[in-house]
Amino acid sequence: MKRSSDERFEKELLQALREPIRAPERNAARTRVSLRLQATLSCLEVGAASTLPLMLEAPSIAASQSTASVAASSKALVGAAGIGNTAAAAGSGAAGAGAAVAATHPLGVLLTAFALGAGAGGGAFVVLSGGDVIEPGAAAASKAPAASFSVAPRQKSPSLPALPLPEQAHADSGAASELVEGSVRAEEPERARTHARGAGAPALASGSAQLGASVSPATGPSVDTLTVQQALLDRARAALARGDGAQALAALAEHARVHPASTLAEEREALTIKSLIASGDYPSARARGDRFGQRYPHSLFLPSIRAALSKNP
Amino acid sequence: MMVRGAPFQENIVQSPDRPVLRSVAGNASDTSAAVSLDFPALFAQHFGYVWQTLRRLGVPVRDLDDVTHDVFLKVYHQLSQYQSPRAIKPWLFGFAFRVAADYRRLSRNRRELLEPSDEPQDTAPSAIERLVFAERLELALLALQDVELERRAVFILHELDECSIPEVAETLGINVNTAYSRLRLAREDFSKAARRLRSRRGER
Repeated sequence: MKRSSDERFEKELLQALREPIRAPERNAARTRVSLRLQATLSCLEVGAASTLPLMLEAPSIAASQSTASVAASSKALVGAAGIGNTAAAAGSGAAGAGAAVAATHPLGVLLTAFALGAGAGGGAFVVLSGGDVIEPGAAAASKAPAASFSVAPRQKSPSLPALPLPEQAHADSGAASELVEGSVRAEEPERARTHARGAGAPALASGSAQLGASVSPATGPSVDTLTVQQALLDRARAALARGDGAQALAALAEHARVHPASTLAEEREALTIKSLIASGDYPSARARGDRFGQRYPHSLFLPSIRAALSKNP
Repeated sequence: MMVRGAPFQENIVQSPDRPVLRSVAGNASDTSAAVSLDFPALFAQHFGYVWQTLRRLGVPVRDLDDVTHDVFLKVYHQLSQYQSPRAIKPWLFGFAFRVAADYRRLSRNRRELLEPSDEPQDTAPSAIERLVFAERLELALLALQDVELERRAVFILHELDECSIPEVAETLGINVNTAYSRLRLAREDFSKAARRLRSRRGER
């Protein structure tokens, strides 16, 4: 008797292990990691655009079509925006790159997409999505210096009358949004809105009672602040790509001031060292490079930092 | 710039459990037949698997983001090494396993604890059922941590990911007999751990 209930318990445990991760949890994590990954890859590839275009080019957006009927009747939101406090920069050559994703939810309920504005360095390549498939859309802003956005009027989805769109976040200057056909999932409407305000990127989310209402608090920093941080680092990266070390250092100093203990600190430090090199301050670069090596002995940035330092005596 | 009329990407076969396929369909088996891998799409599609695998391998939730990030970074750099006839999940598992093992080697991470406070808690009343499930998952993960890591890898691949033993052996670079023997030991460890957890909890 005991034995058979032991077996049952064991089976239950195995079953629990087999269950896929809940979509909200997974998607929140995916967004956090994608932002970091994007930051890391951008840092690694600064000045040596070998493999990065793979991710940053192809400014295309695809809606997943796991269920044709859903795809046909749903809406996608695509927004593109300059990052809030740097939106002004859009006029001066640093264009916002928008990345948006649309996906259908298996249940075909309602999906959200939010737009991530990214600074001149490039677009974030993956955004929240409800379904299993995201087709990342991204744009390398540096390749399109003068962005021109068209603003679509606010729309309600006719197919989803019970789930009205929450107020659209105010788009700041330089920001714009657009609705296109596709599918929208309301995952974290609150977060999406906050994100939109915080970053100045217009995001539009649709609330879904059963799906969007309770979302586990994510571990780690919120997507919002990461997005803002990412924008700052993107600014630095873009400046560095132009060879403007001073400008890059300014953006990095701001990041260090506002987010001293950020999860992106490693990326920031790597960029700082490269920016110091770019601005000719080799002694400082070397000193920081040494400290970096001690602090992050296994860092993936180390080889490129060392290479850069060894090139500049 | 790119927004209006952005071309929909063609030729991406999308289904929940299939890898990112560009153009080719053909082989209907679960995870093979990818001809070229598109990293963003791969990331989007298999993020959940990698994340879950790392959690099963014992990476605590607080470090899951970091470790997942590292795995995908390695995947990114090795993308060209992927051989299309191979199933993608075991291939990804290989990365996850190595990174998780490195992670464990760091002394500060040796203490493997999946403390309840580590887990994101959903406290909404509507989530009671999920809490029950979450508790079970927590127990299951605890039991899994009692299986020694190398055995656990075999166990996860075979019992949870449903890979055949030869496939498991290939993924982990061990021979088939070793894989069988580790599987047997892993099952014993897991059963023992489950029994212990159950008796500690008492009959409920």
